[in-house]
Amino acid sequence: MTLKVLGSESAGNCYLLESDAECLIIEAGIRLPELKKALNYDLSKVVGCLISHSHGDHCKYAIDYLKAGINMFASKETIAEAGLSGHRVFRFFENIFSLGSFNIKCFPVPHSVPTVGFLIHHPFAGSIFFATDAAYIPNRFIELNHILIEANYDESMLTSDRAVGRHMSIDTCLGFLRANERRHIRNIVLLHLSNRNSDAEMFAKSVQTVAPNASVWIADKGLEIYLSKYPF
Amino acid sequence: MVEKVLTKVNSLKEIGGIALPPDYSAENALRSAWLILQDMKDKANLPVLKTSTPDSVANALFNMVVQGLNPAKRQCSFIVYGDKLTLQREYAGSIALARRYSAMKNIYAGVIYKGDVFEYAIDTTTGMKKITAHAQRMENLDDSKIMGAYAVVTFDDGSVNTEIMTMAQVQKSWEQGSTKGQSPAHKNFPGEMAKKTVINRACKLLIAASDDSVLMEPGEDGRIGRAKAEIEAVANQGAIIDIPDDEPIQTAVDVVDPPTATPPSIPEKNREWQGEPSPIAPGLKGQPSLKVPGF
Repeated sequence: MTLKVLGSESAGNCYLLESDAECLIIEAGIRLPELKKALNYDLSKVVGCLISHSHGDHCKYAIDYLKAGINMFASKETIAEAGLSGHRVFRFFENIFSLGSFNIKCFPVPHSVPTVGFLIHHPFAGSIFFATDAAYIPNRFIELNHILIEANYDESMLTSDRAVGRHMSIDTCLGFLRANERRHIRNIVLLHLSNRNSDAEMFAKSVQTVAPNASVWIADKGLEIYLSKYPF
Repeated sequence: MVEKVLTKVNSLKEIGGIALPPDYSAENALRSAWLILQDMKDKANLPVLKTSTPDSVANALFNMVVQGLNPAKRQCSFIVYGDKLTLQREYAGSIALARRYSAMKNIYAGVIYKGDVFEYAIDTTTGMKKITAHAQRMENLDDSKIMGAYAVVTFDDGSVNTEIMTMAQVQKSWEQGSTKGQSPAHKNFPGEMAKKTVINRACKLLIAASDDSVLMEPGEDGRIGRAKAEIEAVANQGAIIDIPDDEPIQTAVDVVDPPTATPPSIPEKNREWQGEPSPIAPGLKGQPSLKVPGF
């Protein structure tokens, strides 16, 4: 299983969880041609696209994806706000649901609009945690293998308080990691770093000290990492 | 002197005897004021710091800090009356205070010249004035033929109020000042000075009638403090979310459109996302699993 970052910033977000047979898309914030190119023009293995919330950098191109025949999954608020309709639009279930071999559970996170994070379970990759555009994570998790989490700003670098209460600070991110079981973590990918209020190198270093055995990545556009629950 | 005032301000701040706006730096304002005062001369061309009583200097500086004004931004100026230094709020300071303390969003002023078409209406339910027409031609712009001036205040909630003064009223107001409206600025730029006068008047009541709620923000800086307190209280404390291996999985999602496609067998509580963190719902054993169209 490969994680591909097609975008992780206010300009547009999109992530692929791709195996040989299947691909799960998370967020619809990059243009369809770019997505197609990343999928090598083979949309047949796409099992669906999850959208976390209705902001443009996460769902701007959802309608284009729908037209390309991709099933879209979002909360009812996001569906209404983004104006999605048609037989390919699905509302999240409160329970665990599956898309191909991905088992997915949504959980709400605090942001300026209704937003969800995802716990995704895949037989080969293991447990994948995904949350971006969240002030903090209310819930706790066990046996996570891969954590994709926002680290938007450092409080000492803030030039305005716009992000506060909407996006996650590096301190809150570290607090999340400390509060949860870390034994099984293989990869930590820091998402959605602010252009102005963040320091990627410092963020990665401080995350590494909290989870010394994990590989820490910054979700730059084009990043590809191999996700497996097995160490070797 | 600066140190003396600053120490006084800080000691009052510590014991809660004074609250300053969160976005105001008393240190910066005091240092700027001191630079200005060091260069200032009175009418006899003597340095004001020599001729003014130390008490009046300390009072003027203290007054500046309490109001949250900065002389480097021309929000206030110092004026000598005899051996006393006093602080005068400038119109930029009035705007800053009105913005800080009231719901005022913006304020703009205009000058009415002879020959302009100027009409306004009074909303009798609120008493607020609204300009309904102001047509002006370039050739009317003659500073010796000013009929009046007005200031339009827009508030955060979108409402608008207007302060209108005739030139006679403006001149009366100038006569209250120390230069009696005879300063070079008043003589050469009466249009601009009239605008300042009417803005000052519009801000005056907003400032005087305001409460001190801006000074009462909790924590280190309002929003940041509140956000931190919330994180402290609720982050990472909710129910554990997990996908157990033996949990039966629903391969279905609710179809939004067309509504008739929604299978009736989905339990009501699972129909839609509830938006609240909740423990894992009990397993759905024995329920028919639903196929998503298109799979």
